[in-house]
Amino acid sequence: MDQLESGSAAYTISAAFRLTGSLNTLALEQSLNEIVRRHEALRTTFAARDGRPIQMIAPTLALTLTINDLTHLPRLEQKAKLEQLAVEQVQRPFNLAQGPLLRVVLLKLGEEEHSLILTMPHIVSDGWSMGVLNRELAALYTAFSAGQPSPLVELPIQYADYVCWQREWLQGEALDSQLAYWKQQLGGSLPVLELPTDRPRPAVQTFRGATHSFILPVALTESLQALSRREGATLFMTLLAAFKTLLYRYTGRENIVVGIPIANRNRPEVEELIGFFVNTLVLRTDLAGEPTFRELLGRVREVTLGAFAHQDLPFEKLVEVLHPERDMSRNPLFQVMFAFQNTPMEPLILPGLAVSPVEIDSKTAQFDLTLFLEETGQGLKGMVEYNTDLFDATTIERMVKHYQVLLEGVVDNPEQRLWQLPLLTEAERRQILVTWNNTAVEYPHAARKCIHELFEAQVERTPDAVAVVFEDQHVTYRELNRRANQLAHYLQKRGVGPETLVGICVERSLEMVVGLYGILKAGGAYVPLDPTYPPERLIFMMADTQAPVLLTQKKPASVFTDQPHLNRPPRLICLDSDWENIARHTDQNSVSRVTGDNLVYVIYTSGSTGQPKGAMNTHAAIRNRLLWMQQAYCLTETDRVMQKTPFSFDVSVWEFFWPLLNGACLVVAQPEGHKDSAYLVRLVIEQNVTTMHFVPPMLQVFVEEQGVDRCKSLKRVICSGEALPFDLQQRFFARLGAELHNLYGPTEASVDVTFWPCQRECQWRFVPIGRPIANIRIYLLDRHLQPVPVGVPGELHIGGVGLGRGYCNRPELTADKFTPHPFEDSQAPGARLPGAAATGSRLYRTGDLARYLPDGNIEFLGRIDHQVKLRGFRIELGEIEAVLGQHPAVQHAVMLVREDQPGDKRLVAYLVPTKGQTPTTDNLRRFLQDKLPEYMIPSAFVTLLALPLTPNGKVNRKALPAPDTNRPEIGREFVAPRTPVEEVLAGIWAGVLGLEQVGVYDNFFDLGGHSLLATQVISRVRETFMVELPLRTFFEAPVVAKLSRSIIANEARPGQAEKIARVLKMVESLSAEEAKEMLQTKKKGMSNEAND
Amino acid sequence: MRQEEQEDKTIYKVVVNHEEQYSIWPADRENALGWRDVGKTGLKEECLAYIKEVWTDMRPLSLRKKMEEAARQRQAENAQES
Repeated sequence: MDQLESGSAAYTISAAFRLTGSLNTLALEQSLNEIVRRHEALRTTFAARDGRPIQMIAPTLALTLTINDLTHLPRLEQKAKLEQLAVEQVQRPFNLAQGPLLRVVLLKLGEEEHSLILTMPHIVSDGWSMGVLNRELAALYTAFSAGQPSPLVELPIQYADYVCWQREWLQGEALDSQLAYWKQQLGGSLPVLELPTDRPRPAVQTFRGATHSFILPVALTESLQALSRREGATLFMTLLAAFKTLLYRYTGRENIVVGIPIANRNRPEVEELIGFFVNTLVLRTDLAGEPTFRELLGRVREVTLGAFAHQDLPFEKLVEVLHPERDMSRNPLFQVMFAFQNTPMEPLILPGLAVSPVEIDSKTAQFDLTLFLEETGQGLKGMVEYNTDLFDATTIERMVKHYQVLLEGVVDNPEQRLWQLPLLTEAERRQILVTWNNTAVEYPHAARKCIHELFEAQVERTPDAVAVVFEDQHVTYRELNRRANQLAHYLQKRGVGPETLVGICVERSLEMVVGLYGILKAGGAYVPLDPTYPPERLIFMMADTQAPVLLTQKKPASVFTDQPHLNRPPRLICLDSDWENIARHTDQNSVSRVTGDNLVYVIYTSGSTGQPKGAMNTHAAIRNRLLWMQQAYCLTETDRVMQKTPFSFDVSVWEFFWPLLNGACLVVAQPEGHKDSAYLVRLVIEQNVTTMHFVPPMLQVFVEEQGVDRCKSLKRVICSGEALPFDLQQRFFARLGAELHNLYGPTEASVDVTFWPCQRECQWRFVPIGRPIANIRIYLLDRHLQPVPVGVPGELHIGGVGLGRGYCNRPELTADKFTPHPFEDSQAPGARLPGAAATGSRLYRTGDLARYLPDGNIEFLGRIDHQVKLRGFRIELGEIEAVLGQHPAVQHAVMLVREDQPGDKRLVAYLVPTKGQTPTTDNLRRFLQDKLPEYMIPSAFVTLLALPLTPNGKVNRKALPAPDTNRPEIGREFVAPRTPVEEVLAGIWAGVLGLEQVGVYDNFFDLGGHSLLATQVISRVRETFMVELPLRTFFEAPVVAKLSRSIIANEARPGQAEKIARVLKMVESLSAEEAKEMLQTKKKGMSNEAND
Repeated sequence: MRQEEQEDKTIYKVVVNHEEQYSIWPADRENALGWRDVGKTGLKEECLAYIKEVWTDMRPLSLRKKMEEAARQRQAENAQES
C-alpha cells in the first residue's frame, strides 16, 4: 500500500501537544526510548527480499531527541511554523527500511513553552496505539523526571506474536465462515455511493482534504441515547442509521454502503500493545420499501451485529476476495466512512506541565468523506474529513446541519418514513421555497391585455416604422396591422373566435407573420404545422386538434385535400391565392371576446408513447413571458430581431411577438435559412440584426463561420433548447462582442422559465441556467416532492403564471404531468403572483434534473427519462421506438443518442428483426421518413440478434455497440469515385459521416447525414477547393457526383478544383519527408514567381 | 435524484381543484391546499384512466363560465337587434 500510495499522508498517525511549564527534556528522551524498547512494533523495519517484503525486528534502537529552537521567532510566526511542521510530519512518509518507527519533534517556543509532535506509520500503529503511547509516556516521564525507575510491567506478548496467532487462527473453517458471511453481504454488484460533488471527480483519486468540526447539543445526545435504549440499539447504531438516511436523501439510492473502523482489541493481552489492530468493516443496508426510521434502525442493528460477529477478516483480504472492478477514482468497496468513538482517547498528563492537544489539520482525506463522532460529557463532538477536490467547505457545513436536523427529526418522531424526515433547516427551507422564488412583478400597462392588443397599442405608437423585413419586402406596423385585420375579419366570418384552433401550414414568409397575427386578432389560437414534416404527421396534428380552419399556401395545401383520416376536413384558406378575397374585408382592428385565459397557440412536441402531444398555451402565460423579456433586455425601436426558428418550436413565439410589441423590426430569414450559417452571417451583416436566437449546436457552427467577426451589429444572442457547453460560451466570447444569454424552459410553460446572463469572467466551468423569470417559481424536488438541499439534484418543477393549460385532448397526460402545488402555504402573503389563485394551482413536472448553486442560481444536469435534446430538438426516444416497432420486419427497437466522437451526438437505432426478415437501412429510413420529422430520423441502424440485457432483464443500453463504419445498406450500388475531385469530396464526406467509404451516387442523408453535418461539408469544401457553395445547392443534390460538378461550376479559374484535388491526392501518397521536401521546393518556386 | 426505472406501485387518489382541473396525488398524503378528493383511488394507470373519462372539457371552470356568460349576452344582443 505504501508503494501504491507512497507519499500519501493517509497512512501515518500523529498527535501534537503544547506543553507549558518546565520541561525535563532528558526525562522525555528517556521515556520515549523506553517506549521504543518496550514495543517491538516500533523497532520493526521492512525490507524487500526477492521482491517480497520481509520484517525484521532490531534488538535495540536509540532515539535521539533534537530540540528545534523557535524562541527567536515572534509568537504568530511560531504558531505558523508549528502548524507547518505538524502537517509536514503527517504528510511525510516513513522510510520503513529504517527504524525506529516513531518520529518525535520537539519545538522550543520559550523557556516554559514547548510543542511535541509524535508520529507513527499506520503499518505498525492505530488510534488506540496513540492512546497507549500517551499513557506510557505519562507514566514513564513522571517516574524518570523524579529519578525513579519505570513503573510499567513488561508486556506479556508483542505485536508480532499477535500477527502469528491471528494468521494461524484465521484459517480453514474460521476463515470460511467469515468469508461466507461477507460474500453474502457484499457479493454481487456493490453500489457506488455517488454523493453530489461540487467539482467533477478527478479520474484518479486525490487525497487532498480538510476537516470541519461541530458539536451536537447535550439534550439531543441524551434524546438519542434514550431512543437507542428504547429500541434495543446502541447510540452508535442510531447515529449510523441517521447517517445512512442522510446519504440516502443526498443520493436517492436505496442501497447504502458505509465503512466503519473497529479497534479490534477484544483480548486483554493486546490492549496494551502498540500495533496495527484496527480493521474496517463494510456495512451495507437496504433502504428500500419506504421504511420508517425505527424500521431502518432495526435493519442497521442487524447488519452491525452480523458484521461485529465476523470482524476478524482483514479489510485487505476482503478486497482481495471480492475483487471489485478497479476504479482509480474511488476507494474500493465503500467511499464514505463513519467513525464513532465512545471512549475518549487517553489524554497526555505530565507532572509540572499543562498539556493541551494541538489539532493537526493533515490536509488529507482518506475517503470521499468521513464522519467522526465522539461521545463527550458535553454532547457529541463531531468532525467531517472530506476530499477538497470534490467538496467545498460550505457544502460540508450544510451537510452537517442537515445531519443535525435529521437527528432532531428522528428524536421527534422515529415513526416517520425516511423521506418524510426533515432535512433542511427552517432558514434554508425559507430561502429555497420563498426567497429564491420571490419573483412577483406587476405589469400594470399590460394587465388583462392579449398579445394582439399589445401589438395594436404599438401600432398606435409607431405606425410608420418598419415592422417586418422579408427578402426584398418591407412592411410597416400600420400595413401589417391592416392585413392582419383583414384576415381576422375573414376568419371571424368563418367561425373563428376564442378557443378555436386554427392550423397554419406555410413556409417562412411575410404571409406567415400576417397569418399568426390574423389568427390571434380573430380571437383564435394557432397550431403551427411545418410544411417540411411528413404528411402523415401533419394529418395527425390536424386530426388531433380538430382545427376547423387551416391557413396555408398553394404548395403545401395538397397534403390536406382528400384525406380520409380527417373525419371533419378543415376549411382550407390559401394566404396567397385567396388573398384577393381576404383583402376585401375591413382593415380596422377586429373585436373578439378573447381573454388572457384563452388559448393562444398549441405547439406539438415529441411524445414518449409514439405520438406527438400538443401543448396548449394561454395569452396570459405568454404575455408574462414577453413582458419579462422586454423588462430584462429592453428592446428599442432601433433593434432588429431575426426570425429564424421554425414556427413549430416555441422559441419562435418570442421572435414573432416580442419585437413587434416594442417597436423593433422583425427580420425574417428565408425558408431553410436557419440551417445555413453562411447565410445567417450574411443576413446579420446586411440587415444589421441586433438580436437573435440559437440552439447551442447551431451556435457552434455559427461562431466558426467565416466572417462572423463582422457581425458587429449583433448586441445580444439568446441561447436555449439544450445545455449550453462552457467551451462554446468561451468560444463565443472570443469571436463576438455581443452579450450571450442562456435561457431554459419547456414548451408546456411558455417557452422559458429561467434566465442567466453569461459572463466573460465566470467562477464556474459550466453555464448555469440562472434563476426564475418574473412571476415564475421553480422547485427542485425529490421523488417524494420534498425540496432538495443546495447542491443536491432534484427534478425541476415549475409553478407560476407561465404554466400552459395542458395537452390538447390528453386529460390523462395533463393530470400526470401537472401536479398539485404543495408549497403554496409557504409563500409570504405579499409575494402572491399577480392574477394567480391563492390555492389550488399546479406545478409542471419537467423531467429535467437540476440543482441549486449556493447563491440560488440553478445548474441544469440532464434528464430523468429517455427524452433527449439533439441539435436543440426535443425528442422522446420512445416515440421513435414505437414508430420503428410498427415496421413489419422489426420485432424490437431501442433508440440511443451516442457521442462516440466528442461533440458529435448521433441518433442510433438498434433493432432485432422479425424472424426471417432482414430490413435494409434504406427501407427503414424511408419508413420513418413518412412518419417522423427529419430530426427524428436515426443516423445509423444497427441490427442485432438480441438486445443485451441487464441482470434484472432490462435492456442494457450501455452494452449497445457503436455502429460500425461500413457504408450502410442503402439499396444502391456502390460506385467508386471516378475523378480526383470526386475522390477528395467523397473523402470529406466519409470523414464527416464517420464512414470508411462513400459512393458517388449515395445520398448524404441516407448515409446518416443531417443538416449540421451538411454545414460541415460545405465549410470543408470551402477550405479545400476555395469554392463557396450555398447550403441550398447541397440540399438540392446531396450526392458526391452532382456536388463535384457544382464545385467545378463555381471554381474561380477553370481547372482549379481538379488541380487542387490532384495535388492533395499526391501529397497523401507521399511520406512525411517527401512531403516536406516538396513543400520547400514549392515555396521556393512561389517566391521566384513573386520575384518575377 | 436519479429515478431508476422501476414500476410505480404507489396508490394514488384523483384530486380536483376549484377550476375543475384534475390531477393525482399519493393516497396516503394530505392534499395540497385548494385540492379535494374525487373519490377514486388506485394505481397510477387506473387513476389516469378515470381522469380520461371524466375530464372532458379542459378549459378552467372560470373560463367556461365566462364564455357561457358571453354567449348568453351575445344571444340577448342578437335577439334585441332582430
